[in-house]
Amino acid sequence: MAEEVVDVLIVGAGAAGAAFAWSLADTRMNIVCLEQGDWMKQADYPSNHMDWELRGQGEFALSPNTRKRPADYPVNDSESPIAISNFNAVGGSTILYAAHFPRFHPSDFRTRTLDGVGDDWPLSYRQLAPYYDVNARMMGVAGLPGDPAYPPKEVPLPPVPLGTLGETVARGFDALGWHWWPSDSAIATRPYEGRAQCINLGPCITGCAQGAKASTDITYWPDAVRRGVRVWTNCRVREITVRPDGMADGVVYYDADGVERRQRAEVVVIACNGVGTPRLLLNSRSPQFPDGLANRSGLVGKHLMFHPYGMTTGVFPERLSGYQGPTGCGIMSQEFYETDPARDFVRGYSFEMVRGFGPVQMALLGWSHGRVPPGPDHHRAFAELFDHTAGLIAICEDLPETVNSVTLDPELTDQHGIPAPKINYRLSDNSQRMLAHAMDRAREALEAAGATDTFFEAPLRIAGWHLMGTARMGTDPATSVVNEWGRAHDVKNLFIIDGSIFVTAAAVNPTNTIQALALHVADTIKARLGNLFE
Amino acid sequence: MTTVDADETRTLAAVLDELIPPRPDGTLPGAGALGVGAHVTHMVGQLPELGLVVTDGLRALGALARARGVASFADLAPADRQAVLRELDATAPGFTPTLTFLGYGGYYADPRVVTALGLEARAPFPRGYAVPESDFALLENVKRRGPRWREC
Repeated sequence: MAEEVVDVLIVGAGAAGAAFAWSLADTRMNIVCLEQGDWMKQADYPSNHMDWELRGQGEFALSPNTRKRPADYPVNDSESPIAISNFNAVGGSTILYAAHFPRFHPSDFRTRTLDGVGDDWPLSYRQLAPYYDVNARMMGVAGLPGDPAYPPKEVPLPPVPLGTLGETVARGFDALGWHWWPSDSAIATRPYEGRAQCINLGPCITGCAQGAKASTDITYWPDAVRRGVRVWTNCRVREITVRPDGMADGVVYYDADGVERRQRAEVVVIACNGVGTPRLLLNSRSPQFPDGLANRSGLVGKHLMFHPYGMTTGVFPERLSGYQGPTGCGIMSQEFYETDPARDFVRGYSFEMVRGFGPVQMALLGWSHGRVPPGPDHHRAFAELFDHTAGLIAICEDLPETVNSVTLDPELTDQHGIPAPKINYRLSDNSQRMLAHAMDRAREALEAAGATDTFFEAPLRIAGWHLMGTARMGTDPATSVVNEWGRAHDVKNLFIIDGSIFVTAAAVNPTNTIQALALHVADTIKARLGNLFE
Repeated sequence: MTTVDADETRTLAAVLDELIPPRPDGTLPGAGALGVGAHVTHMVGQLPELGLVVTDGLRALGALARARGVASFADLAPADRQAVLRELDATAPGFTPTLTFLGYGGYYADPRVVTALGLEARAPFPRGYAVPESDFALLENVKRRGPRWREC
């Protein structure tokens, strides 16, 4: 039997891979997606169980180094103050994300022009806006139209309820005269396209047992599969192979039984996130590409951006019922989003409300801050905090710097012997000044809301969940890895569609923009099918 | 796999009661009396790197107790237990934090503790929680201040 050559081979079934596959399914091409994880079952998520908090620390932990599921690969993040968080399954990190779903702002695509930092993107908010609208419908975005921090935008579902905690925090912002608005959230607040309505379980970040949160295994993928896209699970890609002329011709991967296999393709699309994608490219060495595939610029793995997070916790006299409702979705303040020359940093940050914690997490958070010690005073200290806290997360814009990078670890490998990614990252002076400003303002806001005490952590080590910039887009092959529609400058049948291609990071969660970009790339491919490789 | 013998199990319960003692009002026992030791033992079986820290610490506590003339850490007077734990912290600094981490997890996931905190002892799914719809009248001030995004 002749070896099958598929038209399009997508590596990674997460946020980007799903949106891209769904869009490209219009073409009726032969499309296969290889995913190193499996389909998830909602019945397996921790919130089905009484000990949901403990289960969330184990096989549903944010860090792959803690989780150690068979689908995971280790990450050496020992030389970074921010640790990598991800998930490997159909749905990717949308399985564990909070579903906080803001768009980037128009200014986020023009930071060089406006503020003299970072680089301008080769496309604009206006160009991406139609894809944000499609994504809002496909993912089912809940929110409130009219946010003055954004141009008008489509929001199909009503916002998640704020609860006592959210309304308390909102009053703090209001007392200070600051901007705040109900967050855009990828959560079905009403029955939506076959998804059940949110019932405020709480722990969105360990998977949604209700199926209300928009992870792509239940949004884009079912429709893409119905229209003929094939998803091959438990398949870990080792490298992308090239023909003598330097065009990609497929991948080598390990199947569910660990057997090495080869899959040929006319077009290869990488959607493995800002760490997994450079790992795969750097591990795809050949005589044509001795430094890694599509890396003639030397920029694959460079410009790694996180969002440096700081979390301030306020302690309130009243009970806030904070463990009820979507963990990370409620309200957002963008009072300090845009550059203000009066401040000692450029660009800015968002505040996101964080609900309270369950008993286990509250005890452990309190202990880590010296607030809930073991010993004779334990119960008094715990009672002071439990159900009496509200959090404000500052999500700061990171700026692209070549010193922050993903490389291949010289020693650490996954179970197939593929080198693990190594993270080298340090907080810039700008980020440190921004975090300090944010922690002071968060304390002000929480005190204005009635907090009698506050404590904070910055940077938040666990918060390496936004992985961006390591295969940036641009029009110049010397300073970017892919062009303005995701095609590698060096390999004309290779596309990258995840957060790797971000030019700058903005100061909001990136998933909505990752998917809008993936839809934009798919649409451009569809429009250029006749001359795709020219 | 790391295992804990009978004397170490008794020591473990006594240490857990030091870390999370009974509630002063008597409505909750300490972590040891509540049986959190079983959770800790389960976890050290699952996590060998933590298991060694715990089992080595328990054995060291036994030795320190015997040096004070009793058969087991659990036989020490309350004040002596605290002193022995501090002594162990100097030579095995990972023991108390590891046991605190595991002990807090086991204690606050226990249905009896959850109920005593005023919550329903159940999984969040399938019943979920009712959170009332919000009144967004408070947004009037934000709306009045007008657009704040930069056109570009």
